[in-house]
Amino acid sequence: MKSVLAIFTGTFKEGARSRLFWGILVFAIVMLLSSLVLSEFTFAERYKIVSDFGLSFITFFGILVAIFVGVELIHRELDKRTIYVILSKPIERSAFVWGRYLGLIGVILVNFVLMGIFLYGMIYFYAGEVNFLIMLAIYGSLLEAAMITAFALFYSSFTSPFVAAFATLGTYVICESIDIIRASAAKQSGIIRWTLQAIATVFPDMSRFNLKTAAVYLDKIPASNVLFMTLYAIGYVIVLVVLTSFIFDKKEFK
Amino acid sequence: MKLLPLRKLKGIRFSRVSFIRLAAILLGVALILIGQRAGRNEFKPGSTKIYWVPKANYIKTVALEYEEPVSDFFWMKVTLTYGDRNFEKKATKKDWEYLAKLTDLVTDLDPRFFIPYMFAAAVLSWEGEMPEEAVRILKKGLMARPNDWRIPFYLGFNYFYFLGDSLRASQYLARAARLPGSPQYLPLLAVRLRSRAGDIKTSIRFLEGLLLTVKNEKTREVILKRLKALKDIDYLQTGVRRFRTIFGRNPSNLRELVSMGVIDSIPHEPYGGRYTYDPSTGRVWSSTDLGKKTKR
Repeated sequence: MKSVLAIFTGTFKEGARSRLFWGILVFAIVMLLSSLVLSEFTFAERYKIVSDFGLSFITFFGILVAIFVGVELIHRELDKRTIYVILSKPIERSAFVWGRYLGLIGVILVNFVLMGIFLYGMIYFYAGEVNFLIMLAIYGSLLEAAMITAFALFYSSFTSPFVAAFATLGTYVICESIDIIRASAAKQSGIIRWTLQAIATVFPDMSRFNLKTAAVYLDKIPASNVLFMTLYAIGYVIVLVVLTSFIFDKKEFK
Repeated sequence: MKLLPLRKLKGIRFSRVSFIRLAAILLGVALILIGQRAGRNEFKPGSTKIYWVPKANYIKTVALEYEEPVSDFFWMKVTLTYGDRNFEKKATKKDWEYLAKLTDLVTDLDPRFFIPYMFAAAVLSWEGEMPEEAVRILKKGLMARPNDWRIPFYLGFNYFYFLGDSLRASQYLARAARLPGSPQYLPLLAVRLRSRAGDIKTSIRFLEGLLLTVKNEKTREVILKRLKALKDIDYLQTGVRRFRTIFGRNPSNLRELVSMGVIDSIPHEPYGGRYTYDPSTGRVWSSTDLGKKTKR
């Protein structure tokens, strides 16, 4: 446990020092500001436009950080060969993987909190009111990013950074299109149908985490939904991190 | 003129630095050109525009979880096109169809977004003269915003005013009247529509109701103009009726109403025409048929 904590702080500090992280964050805030300008081009319902764009930018950039910072940190470790120093210590490899994952989540959490505070302030000053539901929508996106990070870590454990980043991006697209994949599976037959159905079953359905529309239209979001989302995400994360540790265990570092 | 032999050209070497500089300069020039082009990018009818509007299904597939901002983007296309100061003067039928298609797309992508429905009801049917298209779009809103009285109200208005179907209009108004927040006059208006369809006072009441829900200045102007003309006609017709009760006959022309002191003056027709009068029936109307006989 102590070793997990040590790796966690190390990863977190490294992530917070990453230029990529700050670059994406600054860009995200600029884009959030731009949604104020965009909302000027509509007749009315500016609250909706600002929230639509704001929440989408937060999700999009949160996912970007999850993919790229996640992949970058693992490979920098291999590149600089610091991994040998760490792994020569009496640390279990699964503790190393968990520490890494949690450190990345820490970085992503900071990213979401900063962007979230910014959006909250922006909506408050612009529309004069802000809803709790916006926070829930951001939470949903955070869970998505947590799952994407787990995927990034998983792919990074056995491929090059380039392939891992692309695979994670592809995974994100698949996870957002589960309903479309299911629908097209129903139209196919034989091996294609079987493959599509397998994809739809294995990958998580991330459309369940999309509370943006509900937040903008002030729908009621039942607490059971939020609980379900949280458990669903944690379940996937545990499976992926355990798989990653398993691959790491077998891996030979030369 | 002799061309330089190739081997001499080989002597010139492009270093990487100069290449980057060249690229930067080219990019700068391109940006300036684009900026200038954007500066005079005012609305021109026809040829300069791409009228293609993508299908909602395709967008839904590629937009992932970002459907709302994508639909907002297309909505901005509508407002920017319509909002251009030259649009009103120069828009062709095709331009209006383009706006209708975009509005249709926006309401497909985000069916709960209200403003496009108002746009359909107040702009597409009035200025774009596409009431059928507006009705089709509004019917989507009926499902997506079941508790919004404005949607069936707009539908009722379109059926009554543009499509001349008072029965359906009154049904939609009755539906609107049952929804929360609907104005008090709706049930009465619905009943009135059923009994005295096409009556001018009904139109006036309807237009006044519409005006309360519309915030866009341009559209308000269009409605206010129509409202003035209808109120004038109502005023003149009331004058004619009063003349008949006093003198036992119809006035021979509208000026007689003024000369006999029944009304103060004949109001100004807002569409640039004048008010016409038929002494045999006593009916007052406008020479431009409420602006319909002018341009377009």
